[in-house]
Amino acid sequence: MVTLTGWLVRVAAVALPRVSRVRYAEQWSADVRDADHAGVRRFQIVFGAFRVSAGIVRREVFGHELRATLSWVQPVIMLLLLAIPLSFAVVRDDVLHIFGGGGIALAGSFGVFSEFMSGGPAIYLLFPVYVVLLSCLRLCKEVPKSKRVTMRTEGYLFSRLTTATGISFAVFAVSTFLLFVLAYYVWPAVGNPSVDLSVYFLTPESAVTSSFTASTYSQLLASGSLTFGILYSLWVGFCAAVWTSLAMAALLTVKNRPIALLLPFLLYIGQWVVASLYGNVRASFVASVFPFGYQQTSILAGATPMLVLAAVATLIWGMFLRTRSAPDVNPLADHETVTPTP
Amino acid sequence: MKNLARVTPATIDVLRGLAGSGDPTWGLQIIKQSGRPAGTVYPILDRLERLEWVSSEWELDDSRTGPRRRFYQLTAEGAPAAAAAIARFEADLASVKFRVAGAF
Repeated sequence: MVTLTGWLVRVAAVALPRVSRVRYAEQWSADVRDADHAGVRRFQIVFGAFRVSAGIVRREVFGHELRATLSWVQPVIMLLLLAIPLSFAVVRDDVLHIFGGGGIALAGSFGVFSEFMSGGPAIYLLFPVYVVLLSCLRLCKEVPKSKRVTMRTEGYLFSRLTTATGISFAVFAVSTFLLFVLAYYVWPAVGNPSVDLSVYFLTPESAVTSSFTASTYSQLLASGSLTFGILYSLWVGFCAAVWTSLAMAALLTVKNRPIALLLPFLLYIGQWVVASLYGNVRASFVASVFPFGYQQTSILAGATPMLVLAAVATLIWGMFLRTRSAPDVNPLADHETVTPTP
Repeated sequence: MKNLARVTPATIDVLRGLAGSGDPTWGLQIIKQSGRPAGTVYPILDRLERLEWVSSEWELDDSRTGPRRRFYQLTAEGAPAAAAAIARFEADLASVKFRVAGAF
């Protein structure tokens, strides 16, 4: 029977590349089994196992992988994510004034943030496109043209997946949080341009309370604007990571690279169109990530489409890694093999 | 074999444990000998192995069933390097003790 500490050391080994994982899982299991005999406490071994595992993963992912992955693309995408909604919100107001319109009137800080996140359709409609550009270009270069690919090791795939999803998560979470800081802290400091509460018959106080019911996830504002800002930014980062994992899976299975890279976007938009046609746009992936302008639902209902997609992505990658680690699979047979770049 | 960038007292204890017996030593035995926790010794063994100071192999005892124990041994290049590192550490320690004693 496997003890709790036996399970824990196996868990510690899970994140390691395959060769190390098999070795350490067995070594640590033997150490846990014989710990009493050696007079060493079992939980000490578990702690040591997690320390070694964390060290190896840090070396693999943050040392080698991250250095090799970082390029000018990430800052450019981040600048776009910040510049497009900002310029849209600011320029649109000016354009409306120039053409004799009344400009835009935003309802408080949440109105400004909503405008940033949903006012620039180039962000919320093209969300998976930015994700793909951000995270899949390196893998795309490594995948040979028009060939179904079998990667050499699942450790290699795992490190690519971890790095790409990590970068997507970080870039989108940080960008969203910066827009939140702009809306909630910088905007009031510069005199709240384009904010006009009188249009909505609101006072500064009622503007805050009405924002609690403005859209899905805005319920979190009742716990404080910073709580909302942090949690919503993490959510956008999480969604970006999910789309990254799907795009990478598409890249590894679909022969045609442009189609593989477009698939996440087609799914994102296609599902939005279908959900709109059926009159349930709130069930779309679009509304699940960017719920601004849609009627409020519960947080769970709003998050469900993306959570289901995350479960599907986990399933796909579980099958991927399982297939690649199966000992009876000859990775060199039939298909071209990709060698990890140093 | 690569150089050790960082030689801590814990590293010296582990090297002593390995150098003490010329034979391959079980990981838990090194933990016991060094008097350091596994959380300290495991990462040191991993680092020493990566830098090729130490090699490891599975135990050859067929009488035991289940997962095998891992045994560590200083490599041919690692053994003299370990002896030199231990000697250097002890010399440094002695000079510090001498200076501290001199101060009083």
